[in-house]
Amino acid sequence: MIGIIVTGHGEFASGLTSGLKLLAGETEYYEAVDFKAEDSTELLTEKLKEGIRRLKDCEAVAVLADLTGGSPFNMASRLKMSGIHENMEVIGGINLPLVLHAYMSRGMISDIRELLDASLEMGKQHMTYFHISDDACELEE
Amino acid sequence: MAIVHARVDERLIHGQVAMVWTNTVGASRIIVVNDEAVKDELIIAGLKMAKPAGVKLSILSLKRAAEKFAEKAYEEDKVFLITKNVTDMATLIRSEVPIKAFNVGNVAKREGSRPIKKSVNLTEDDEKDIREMIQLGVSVTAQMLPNESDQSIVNML
Repeated sequence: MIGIIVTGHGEFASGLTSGLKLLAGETEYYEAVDFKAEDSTELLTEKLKEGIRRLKDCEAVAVLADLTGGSPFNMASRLKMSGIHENMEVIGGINLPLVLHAYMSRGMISDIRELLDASLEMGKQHMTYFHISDDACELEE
Repeated sequence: MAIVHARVDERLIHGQVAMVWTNTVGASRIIVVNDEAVKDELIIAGLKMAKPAGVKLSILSLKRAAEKFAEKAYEEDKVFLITKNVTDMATLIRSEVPIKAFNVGNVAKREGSRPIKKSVNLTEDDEKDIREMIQLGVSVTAQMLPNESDQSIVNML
């Protein structure tokens, strides 16, 4: 099972997780790491390490961060480069559809890059206007 | 043709349904059966936006749904059928739409209803309909999400 860590500024991670739980139920092999106003980057790094530790039964760990280049993303990237886990990926700019997709599809996709490629695609596809769609739909009264 | 899942959900297609249930049951087509939706542009627009990519969508009146199933219109599809309330689901079953099981996901509080679990509020008429369907051999569950128990709803009535 690919472990997932969601992390971001303020309570982004907890907030997004609350949405995820409403859609997918209680989470497992999943950690949320908040980077609060009063936290130092050292503390953030410790929280991320703790999250990775808690996912020790997972053969791969995906860290999903709010902003590419933000501290959660950066600290996670440094941990990856330090070799803390031999099968770890970090992505930034996440949204709920991406996280939901990764969370639900990891049961079927065991390669972490394949999983995240698909989840990134899903996240991007979701970003759209409300519009009256021309999509074919069978409509019969 | 298989109706891979039938669901009563007052919100029709929404987050849980579009993103979680559709994939879990492996549907190729979502069929929303509702007399109001079929005439309402706003509801139709909303349903089109909510449905997952790659899944076909049909929006039918109760009458048309019964006719289309009788005509075997969906032989190639794995159908996820959704009605807004228990009454409509029961009507479809009585019209011989081949529904062997249905799941009661979200039913709002209304006058005369009581909560049998979080997000499921049934009136006496709903309970009567459900018991009648169970007598006909239809299995009825109350799972909001796929990881909840699929025990019979009768245990909660």
